[in-house]
Amino acid sequence: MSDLTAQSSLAGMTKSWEGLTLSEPSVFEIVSVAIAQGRENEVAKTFATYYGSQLPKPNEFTTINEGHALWTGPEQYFLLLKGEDETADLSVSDVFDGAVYTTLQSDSWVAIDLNGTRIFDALEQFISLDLRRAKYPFAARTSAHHMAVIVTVINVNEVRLLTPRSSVQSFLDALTHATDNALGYPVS
Amino acid sequence: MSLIENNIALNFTFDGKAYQGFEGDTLASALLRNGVKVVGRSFKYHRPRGIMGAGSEEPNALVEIHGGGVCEPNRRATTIKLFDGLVAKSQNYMGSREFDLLAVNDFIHPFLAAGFYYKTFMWPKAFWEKIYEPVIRRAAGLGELTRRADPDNYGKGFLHCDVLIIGGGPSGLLTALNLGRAGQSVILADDDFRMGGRLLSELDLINDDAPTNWVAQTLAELESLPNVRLMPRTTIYGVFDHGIYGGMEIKTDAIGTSGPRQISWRIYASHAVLAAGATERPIAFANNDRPGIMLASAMRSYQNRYGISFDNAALFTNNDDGLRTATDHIFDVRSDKFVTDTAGRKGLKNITSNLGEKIDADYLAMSGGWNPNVHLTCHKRSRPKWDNALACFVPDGATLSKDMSVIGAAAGHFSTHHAFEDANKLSAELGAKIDTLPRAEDSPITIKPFWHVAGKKRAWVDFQNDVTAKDIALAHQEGFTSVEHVKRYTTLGMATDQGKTSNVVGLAVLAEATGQTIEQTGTTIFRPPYTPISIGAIAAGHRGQSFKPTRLTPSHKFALENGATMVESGLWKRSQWFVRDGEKGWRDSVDREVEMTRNSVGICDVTTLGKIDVQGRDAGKFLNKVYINTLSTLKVGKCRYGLMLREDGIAMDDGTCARFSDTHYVMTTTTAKAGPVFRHLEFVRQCLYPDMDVHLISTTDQWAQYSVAGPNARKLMRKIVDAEFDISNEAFPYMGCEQVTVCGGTRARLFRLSFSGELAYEVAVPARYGDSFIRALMAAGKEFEVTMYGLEALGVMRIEKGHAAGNELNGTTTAANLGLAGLMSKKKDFIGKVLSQREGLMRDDALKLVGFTCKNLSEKITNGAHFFEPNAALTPENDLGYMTSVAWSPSLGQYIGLGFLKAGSTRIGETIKAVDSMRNNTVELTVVSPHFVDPEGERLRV
Repeated sequence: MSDLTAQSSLAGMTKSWEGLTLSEPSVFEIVSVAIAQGRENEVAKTFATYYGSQLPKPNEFTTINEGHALWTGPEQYFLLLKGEDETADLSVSDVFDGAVYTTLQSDSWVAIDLNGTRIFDALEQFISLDLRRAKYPFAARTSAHHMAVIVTVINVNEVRLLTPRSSVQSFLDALTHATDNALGYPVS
Repeated sequence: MSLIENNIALNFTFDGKAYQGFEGDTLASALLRNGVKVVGRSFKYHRPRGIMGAGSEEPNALVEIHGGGVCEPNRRATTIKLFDGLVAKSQNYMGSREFDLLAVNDFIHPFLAAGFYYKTFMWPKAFWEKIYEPVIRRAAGLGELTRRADPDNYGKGFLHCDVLIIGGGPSGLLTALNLGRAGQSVILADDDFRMGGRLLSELDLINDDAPTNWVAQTLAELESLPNVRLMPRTTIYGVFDHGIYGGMEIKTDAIGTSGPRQISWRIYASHAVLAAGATERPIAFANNDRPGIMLASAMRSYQNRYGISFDNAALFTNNDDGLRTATDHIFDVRSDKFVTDTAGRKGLKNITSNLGEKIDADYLAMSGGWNPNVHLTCHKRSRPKWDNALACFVPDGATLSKDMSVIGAAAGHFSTHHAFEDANKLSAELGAKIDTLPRAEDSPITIKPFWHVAGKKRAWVDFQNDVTAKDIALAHQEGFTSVEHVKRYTTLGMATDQGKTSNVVGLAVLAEATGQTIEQTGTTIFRPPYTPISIGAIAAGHRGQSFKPTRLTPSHKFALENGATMVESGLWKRSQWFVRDGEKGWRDSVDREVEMTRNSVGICDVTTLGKIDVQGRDAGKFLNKVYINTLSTLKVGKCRYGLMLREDGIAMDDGTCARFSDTHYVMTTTTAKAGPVFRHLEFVRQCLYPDMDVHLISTTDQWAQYSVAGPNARKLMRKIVDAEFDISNEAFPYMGCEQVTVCGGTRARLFRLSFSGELAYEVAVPARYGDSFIRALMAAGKEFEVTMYGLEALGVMRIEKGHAAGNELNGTTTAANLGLAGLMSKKKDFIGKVLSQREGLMRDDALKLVGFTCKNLSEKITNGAHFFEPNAALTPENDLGYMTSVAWSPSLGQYIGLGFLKAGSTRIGETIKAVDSMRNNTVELTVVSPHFVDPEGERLRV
């Protein structure tokens, strides 16, 4: 048992406006999976067998039995896995028997969940993508206010944003500013 | 049919005097309603000016609006939606609006013709900077800033649609309705706060009903369609590549309110429909700028939309459209009756005609025909073409961008019927099914081109920049025949209205002077923005602390709790030093941090260093390509210093590489170069060596990393690293690396690296534990009197040790300059190898990194000083190099420096002179080895 205490970047932040709530979700792990050259087919089969889903294509995410998987680059994916396990990258590596290179990315990114009926009214003042007409389940890497962001649109009332940990406070400030402008002052 | 809500009164002040207007008023209509004729002074001659237009074309009525302790100058009174509490002031005078001392310019106008600056202020030369320029600057210009921070909040946003319709007049509204009904995603933007365009100002019936009723019904249906977005008060100010349009939405004109004042929209549209209507133009005749003289269309707007009556008014027109204006007297050039002069300095009093009659009049409406608003077609380099029948420029379909259509008056189709026909035709082309065509007026275009009443008096063409017909003739007389040259010499069309009312008249006057047709004369084209937009809205949230993102390390809070002074390092905030009680200046803190680290142990947050995981069967081969030295032979569990070059052979960045397995390396970069290096590596991976099995991922944010340095570093780390890991010098020697656990099981990466020259470890834990871990490290080090140290102490120790850093890797230096030529592998190829061996870079007298100490220890070395032989003249030819890094060395008790000196490595022990001209400091230096402390490296290997 470690003597160290894990801290979330936003201390479990929640903010609400009429029609929208921002919140930091409970801990989950992110593992980057990069496929070793020449082993693409093998990985696709293993992925389907183990996670019960096909590897996601660009601009989409798939639901896997322990969370979500999304495309992040050529032959590269993020697995968003439920629960806390700082060795998740090692576990995922074992699943593929050396056919992938895994990297723990949970601490690199911070998630902000958006829930409500007015998500896109706020996000149209923050992110340049056409999220209203995005085909769900949608995922994309882009930038907002000069900061990296991964957008996953789960449904019309549920969006998750991932942004680098070090700049998350600036990111949240900018998102809050955009939401204030779009929806008025927060109710809590 | 007035659209004013008389039951909602709005109080406002203008030049300190209280007035009352109504909901639905603009400031301009409210001033006219209150009988205010003079609203400001003209730019150059300071002539009293009144309201001329009713929209964004207004050249005269520029005012300041005040609020929140600041003012916004140069706002057109015609586009300010009146609100309760508005404080507006006129501008551009010395004294008052009624008694402007600078009106003397009007009386000396013969000396102020076009180009007078260039001709008048030639001598004496010395007067320009001290007298002429300050006086001219005081007198010239429009409006004045308060020089205080803008108190308002602005936003930005992004919208997407199938079709963007620019202009909410008859053609724009009907197109939006057709496409909206067809299910297309439509944005309809209009710069007015009320949609409807000219239908709000004219009385011609639509479907036998008032035009405003058709507008209201159409807007009601559009508002009910979820796929249609109506954006009033949104000016599409620019057209850019890839279907991108700039839109500026004004939420409020009030200053200092809590909500966003303006929002800058980037609109992505598959197709754009320009339905921006047309602008009426004036006629140039003597004294046509008097308050009370306005465009005929504007007078009808004020009469019909705003319910203002104009008693004792006259009309001067060359076309039938002008005849719609209800006035008492008509001057129609087609009946050879025209206005030759006017009188009334602060308000029109009478009009003189070519027949010699003098008529008393308080207002004069003028109509010289209409110019289609083609501005946005020009932003992607389409050039409008001249239409003789219409006497105006119209969009040229041959050069028009394929993703833009122009309809209605913007295309030169001026009747409402024609506008509706255009809308239906285009809607069908865009896939909509068309049911009906509203019945509307279809008046033919009857116009006699007439631009200028010849005479000796001044006739204004560009009202905002005070350019007269005589100025244009003078420019031609002085040899300016090109329209572009005339524009710049006279400033015609260069004011904030971009010549909306003046350009075509100016071209016509120039054509008369040159004896050419307008078509032969040509036209200037328009650039964004269509109307002035505020810098604040473009910046939106990017101001103050939010100007750029801030990156914080996991121990940021801990650092602040412990007296850290922060400094920006790229986007990061890093600790510069930590102040303890009793320390009187930063040097006290830095010297203490260095001494405590060298004597016991110190901890530095090095999280900001770039960290890149390089994985794959070919990871070693890949690193061989990007580093000058060989990394593929690095043993698992070992680290190696590496230097990478740009293609041109210049040093790009340096750092260390650790190998954790056969297929897994971890590279570190400098803080500043983390992004550029990652981008470079991806380019190399994807473009140069796509066949290699190698993957990259940034782990900079993943790990909180700390350097633990000093003679007691191992003792401290022994308390942190879990017992099953042996970190003794024998088991874990200098340049070792290992994945370990710390503090009872937390995963960590451990490196035996030293930037300070001391026994040192770098230890990284997942960032979630960063704050907890730094507290654990400090607690464990308490018995050794551990200290945190910041960037300054880090810099001092690296200079003492002779390590190159950003000052030395400055984009001009090579591996040889840095004394690292020996690292360059001769057995392998690497990026930058060929060009690093250029003859000029390999000269024997090339710059070499060496150390410097003062001959006189009481003297101070300064960074940036240039080196010369002791008795050499200070000429560029004698320049021997420059100082890159200096520090007070607590370890040596003197100033030390690093720098590049020609053939420096062969000059150890010699004396040179360092000259800092910026600080007027010259010192004699001894050239020494760059390794000031522990040159043998014994301390870091214990």
